Amino acid sequence: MFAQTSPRTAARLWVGAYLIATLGTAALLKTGIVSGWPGLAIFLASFLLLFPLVRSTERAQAACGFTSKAMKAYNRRVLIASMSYVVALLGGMGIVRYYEPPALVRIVIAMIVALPVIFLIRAMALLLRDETDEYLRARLVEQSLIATGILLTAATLYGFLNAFDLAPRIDAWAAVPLWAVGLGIGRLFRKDPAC
Amino acid sequence: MLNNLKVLRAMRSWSQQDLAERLEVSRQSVNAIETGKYDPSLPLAFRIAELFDLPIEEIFASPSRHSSKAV
Repeated sequence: MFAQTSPRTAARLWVGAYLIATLGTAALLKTGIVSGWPGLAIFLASFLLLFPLVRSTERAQAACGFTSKAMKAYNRRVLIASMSYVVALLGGMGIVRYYEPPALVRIVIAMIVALPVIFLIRAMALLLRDETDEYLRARLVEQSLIATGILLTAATLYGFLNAFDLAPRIDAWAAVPLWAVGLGIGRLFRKDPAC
Repeated sequence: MLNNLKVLRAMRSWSQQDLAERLEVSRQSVNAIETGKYDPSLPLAFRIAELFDLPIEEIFASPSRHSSKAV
């Protein structure tokens, strides 16, 4: 699949396929078109696309001259964290919904679900620490600052909209996905040639 | 910062990847330095100078002295 395209285009296509698959199966679950365990199974299966996505991203990074040991380790950590997160989240949601455990158990489940996300944050910190290529590290720092700025701005604006009853409440865990989107936006600010 | 890295590299028939490997940096770093998008740190600038066996000021133009002309 996507074998004839350039590494960069192939990576973009895999990102598109991943988003369509995860959001599509989530929509199927939410609307009840596919429900119960079969729905959860196809939703879980859609995350397997992360494997070719990461591989194609690494090929694109190599073609663009962005490869480094630290980046490869980061990609592996992100893959492990993402897969662990999906399993922990769906498992946790299932246990809470079907067994209605006491508060103490729910606290433990919440911590287990949060752990892969914390691992993801740690992966970013390790990437910044271990990246020996000063230009790549400077780019990462720049992207992180842009992402943090976007997150803080969005949180402040949305917080006041919510305070004045103009917008519904949003769960705090949305901060990390929004920060990740900010990283992507930060990447757009610096267009590197030669890839 | 203006520099003549591209010329020095071409004189040796090195690709950006060749230079990147010699400097132990990414190809994108070489590209960013050559195009003046990124100013290398002092240690990396010294590594570049040592690789080409030239003084730093023969590779990189002082921004204060060469504000309007290329090296």
